[in-house]
Amino acid sequence: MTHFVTKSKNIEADEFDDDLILMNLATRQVLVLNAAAKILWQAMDEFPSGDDLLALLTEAMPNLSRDEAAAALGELLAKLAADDFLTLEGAAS
Amino acid sequence: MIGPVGAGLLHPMRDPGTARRGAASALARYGHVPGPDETALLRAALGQAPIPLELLTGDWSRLDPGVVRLFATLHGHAGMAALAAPLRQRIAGLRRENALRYYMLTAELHAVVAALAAAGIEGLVLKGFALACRYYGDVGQRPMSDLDICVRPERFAEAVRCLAACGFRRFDPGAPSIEPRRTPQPGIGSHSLTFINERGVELDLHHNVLMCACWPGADDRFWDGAVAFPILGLPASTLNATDHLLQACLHGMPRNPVSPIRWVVDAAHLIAQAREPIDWQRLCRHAEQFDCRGPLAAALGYLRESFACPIPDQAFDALGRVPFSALSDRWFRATGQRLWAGSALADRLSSLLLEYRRYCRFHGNLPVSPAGLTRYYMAKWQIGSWRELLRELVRRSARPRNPSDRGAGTGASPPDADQSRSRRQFL
Repeated sequence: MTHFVTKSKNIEADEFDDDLILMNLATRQVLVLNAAAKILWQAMDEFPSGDDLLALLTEAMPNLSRDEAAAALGELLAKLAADDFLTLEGAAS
Repeated sequence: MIGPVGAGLLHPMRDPGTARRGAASALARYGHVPGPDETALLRAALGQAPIPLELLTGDWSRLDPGVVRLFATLHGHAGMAALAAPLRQRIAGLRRENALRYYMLTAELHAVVAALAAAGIEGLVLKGFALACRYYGDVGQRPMSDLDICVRPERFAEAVRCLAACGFRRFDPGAPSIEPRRTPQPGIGSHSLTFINERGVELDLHHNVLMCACWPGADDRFWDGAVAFPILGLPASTLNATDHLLQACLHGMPRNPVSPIRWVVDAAHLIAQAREPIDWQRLCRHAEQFDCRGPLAAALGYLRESFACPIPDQAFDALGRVPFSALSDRWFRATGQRLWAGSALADRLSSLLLEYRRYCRFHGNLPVSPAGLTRYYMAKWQIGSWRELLRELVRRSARPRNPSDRGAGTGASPPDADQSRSRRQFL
């Protein structure tokens, strides 16, 4: 993980059951995050670096190998970035 | 397996006597009377009866979409825990789809309200979206397919431009059978226009709140009684509970290609909620103002008799004293029974005349005349010549009856945005 994440402006979030619904008011895109992704999204405010997020994920889910966790996190961040919920910036480490 | 973060991350997306003599027969005069299966489902949806297992365990694809979409309302039913897991999951899936749809519509509505606000136009959010937010307590239990927003008539043209700036274009649900320029002109025999954007989101822009009341000033009382309903921090309004109830009854009960029974749950929620008690006197004043006592009394009688909705006797007594013209009775019967969707030419032409006569009545008692009738329909359909008007009349009269139009009567009046729509379902 070599990214810093910056959440986009105009994002509204609401909880539905265990999920987090993200609404991008600029693009009118809506994304549903499951419980694990929700925690990561919320953690991004405090831990905007990809490395920190990966560490958080592997700590919270010890059954995942580091590679699996990195792949899952990478997919999440890529999707969020593709739909303009955040931007991924430069190399961090 | 990507793991818990990846694989499951992105979820796919009349009068009081009428009620006592038989509410269902009174309702049948103006609209659709729910059948036994529909009634069983409605009672379960309102927590008054067990979940109708026979209905739910059948082939859903053979059921009316209007019935299937109500299954989500069973999510909070006490009997859910006893259902087989697959059935529970299907119902939960419907609720989830509803909720997702709600959030998608929230983002769209926010953009529209922002554009309207920037132009200094007030928006009055109507129907499903507002009902789900304010009265259901669980947005997943109230299915909705589109947005409804009303603006003051004098700002309607500007609002259309705002919608265009938000990516919405005119959409004619009846197309291609109806040419776009032949759709009813709002304010003249129609209360709304339908728009759609590139994401397939439909929005009904209302020139007037009610289909039965499109005359100048008809909506003043709705605007005066509106309550704040901010959309993600942007200023907007919605009807108060009493006015929502009026609209739910009048717009919900007419027959429709898709079972329209959802109005019963809406109305029951509105009557049951305690935060904003129904003002029955206000409702009676509406009945008089809009000359709609017949269908309103039928709806309320049905709600009380069939679903034990706590509607006081005094409300029926007061409603019974409200006058109701024969002209409006015929008009509500024609629209409620979808007479214009039928095949009898005489009925269709009769409905055209009926609509014009009601227009004259509520536009300062204009004199009824053949020339006036012609002018009315030329204005309504935006037609510039006699020849075009004749062609349009022939075309509409010759339009075949929709075979899927269950329960339609036999007769005519051009469909408006609400009624002509093939009821796009997102389920």
